[in-house]
Amino acid sequence: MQEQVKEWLEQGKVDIFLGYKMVEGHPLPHFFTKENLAEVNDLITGSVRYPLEKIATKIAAQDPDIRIGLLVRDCNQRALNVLYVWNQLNPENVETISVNCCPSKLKEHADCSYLEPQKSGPYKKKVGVDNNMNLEEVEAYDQQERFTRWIYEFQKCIKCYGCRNICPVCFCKECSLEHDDLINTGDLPPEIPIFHLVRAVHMAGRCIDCGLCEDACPVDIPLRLLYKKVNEIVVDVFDYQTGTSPSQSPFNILGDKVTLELKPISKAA
Amino acid sequence: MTNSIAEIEEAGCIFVIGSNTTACHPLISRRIFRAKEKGAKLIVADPRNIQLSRFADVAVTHRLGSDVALLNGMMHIIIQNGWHAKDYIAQRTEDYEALEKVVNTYTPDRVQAITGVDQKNLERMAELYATNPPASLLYAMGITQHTTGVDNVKSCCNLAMLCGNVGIRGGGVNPLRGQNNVQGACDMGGLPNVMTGYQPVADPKVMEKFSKAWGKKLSERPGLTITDMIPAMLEGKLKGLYVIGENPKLSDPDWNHLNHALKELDFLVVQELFLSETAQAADVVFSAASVAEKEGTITNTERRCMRMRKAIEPIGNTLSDWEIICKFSTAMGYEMKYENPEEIFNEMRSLTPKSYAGMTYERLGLDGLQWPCPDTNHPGTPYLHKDQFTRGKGKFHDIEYKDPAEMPDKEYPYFLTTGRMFAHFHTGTMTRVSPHLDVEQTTGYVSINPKDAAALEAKEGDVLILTSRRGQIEVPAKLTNSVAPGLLFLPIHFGESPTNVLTNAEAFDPLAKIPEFKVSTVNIRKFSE
Repeated sequence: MQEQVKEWLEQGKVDIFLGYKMVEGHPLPHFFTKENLAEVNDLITGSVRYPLEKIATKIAAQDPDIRIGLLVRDCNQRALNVLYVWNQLNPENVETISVNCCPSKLKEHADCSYLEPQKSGPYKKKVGVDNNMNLEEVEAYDQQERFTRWIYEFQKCIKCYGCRNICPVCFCKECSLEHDDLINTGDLPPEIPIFHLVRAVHMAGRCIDCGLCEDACPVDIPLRLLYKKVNEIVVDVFDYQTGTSPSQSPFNILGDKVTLELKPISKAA
Repeated sequence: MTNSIAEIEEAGCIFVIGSNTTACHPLISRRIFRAKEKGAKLIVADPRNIQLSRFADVAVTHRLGSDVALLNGMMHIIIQNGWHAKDYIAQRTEDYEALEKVVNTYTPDRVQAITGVDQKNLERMAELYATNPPASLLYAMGITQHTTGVDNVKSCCNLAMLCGNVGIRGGGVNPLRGQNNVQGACDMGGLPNVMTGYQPVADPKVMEKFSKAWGKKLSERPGLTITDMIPAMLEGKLKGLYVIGENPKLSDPDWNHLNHALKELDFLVVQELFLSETAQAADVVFSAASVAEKEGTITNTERRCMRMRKAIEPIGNTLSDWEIICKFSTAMGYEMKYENPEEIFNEMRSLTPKSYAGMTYERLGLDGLQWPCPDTNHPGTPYLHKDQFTRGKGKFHDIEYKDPAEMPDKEYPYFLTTGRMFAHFHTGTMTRVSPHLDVEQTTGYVSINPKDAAALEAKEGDVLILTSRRGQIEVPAKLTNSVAPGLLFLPIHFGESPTNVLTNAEAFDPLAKIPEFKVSTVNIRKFSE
């Protein structure tokens, strides 16, 4: 892996390479360059997981022609595909090295910080939504109970924005979650359920089920399950597989600049 | 904290009093949620309805400043039912009889009259706390910022000892500290009456030790608390003030009084990251490096001393606090010369045998160590008072309820309490310059019950004029049921509506000198042009 990265940097196949380096005992994202080639010996991989592709979009936003190499697991690759589809990264400028991935029934041996959610306690099972459930199990609750259980989970929210900040496919310049006209600011918990539902709706056709949001959530809200639901709808309605379909997302509508002022509804032409 | 943050998850019952934990200590609230989900019972007592109240098995909104009565009332019921830890009391404590005598008089009827908490809820609180060991008690400024701050803390300790909850894993009396390193600042002797590790200035042996180490005879007289400094400035006894990383123009009570005092100073030096309200009034400002630009250690609320590492070189010509202090001292004629913070740390631990002696930079590693850590083989102490208390036996204090300094009357009919909101930190010097935090709350506000607002014909956002015996401010209304009718809440972060114009500098705890920020009284009217 290190030899390959050195070769790419030396030959100019990539200008920078995004991987991990141990800093004061913490594995942290780091970008390696031709100028510091010897540093590539410190490039590591392991169970640590950050959205390197999100860092790549920030670099590309400043320098659109830069050629970026990065380490990818399956989830990073799916996120990259979404970022290509949404024109946040140019696939021609990105090179990847695949590394070992999250464990699943198909892949038993894997390196990932998100192994399994912790076992949920009895009270959470009684009144909330168990993070270990699948969609069918949650939907077995009748609508009223399901609503109450989700509201229990949302009420814990401390509005840290960890879910948004870690999300590899959250790239909007202006975030609806911070817009006082859409969702009240200044309150704790944030306005519920709208805060979480607005984010959920924005995850439709974008979420690639990496689980980083749930991993980051300090109060164990089962966010992964929520976004699985919206993407199930995207599959059913649009037959669109987020992260693997190469075509434009059904929600990617090009048109006039969208502003939040009220506008008269235009008559059909 | 007597116990550790992670241990909260192991508690059988968590009693939160005077702490809006989700807003002010969010990562501790994470432990509370996890404990609750694992089956722990949760009791919340706060004058406001807070986020955590929604999750409580019993949540009460007791009247401002009535904590001693509430806690005595719980103890009354515990003793009546025989739920107290009789063996623990016999073996580990003293003066129980005095406590019992006082709490006997705090009958549920009397407690309800003082606190507004009904008998059923009081009984439930007492039962949950006493019968679900280990029970962890968490508090913050809602307990301490009172004329009875010390009494409130002692009452919390009484309750915890009564049920045998001190000196056990998952229990304890756990004050949540307000900054990452306020525990460390106190441990380092950043108080007027103690040296490092709480060695008393009044003890000649201690001062002899430090005088020898520093090669200069030190004063054996304790210094002034900030509460004492203000009158000393006005009387001309205190002529120069050196303020490091604090913004008293917003954080100290009675703004008018304080400003007057600051004007009497011959010289004011402020060491700060930003040009705060206080820095703007200074004769000299030392620009200090931020947390990411310096090396050192911090000691957090669970007594854990951890290394802090420099992420970037200081921006501009700023220096670390230790470098500024060394230069300042050297310029004043006492040479302080250190190569790095580690050298200072080693000097400190050589002078602090009981708590820090066993810590070295190498041993601190990634996770740090919890004091006491008396020698270099000691693993640190996750919870205190395991086999015995610092003084030997745990002492019960018989404490009577006292009214706060101000109670509502005809002229000032509303209770006012002050505190924090989740998006900002203290006087906002650091958080109000962050666009993402500013967007959450850009201006000050006063929380008011919709019924009170209706009586004033005030809508959300209308400007209200709040008047106390000290002064008046104008501030937009925020209508919320989190405060009961007759109670107002003001966040402390906003210099344009400074709460300390209203709060009282003359009401403070006689022992700790902490001002009564949590209780004052005001009148309100709607602003009209």
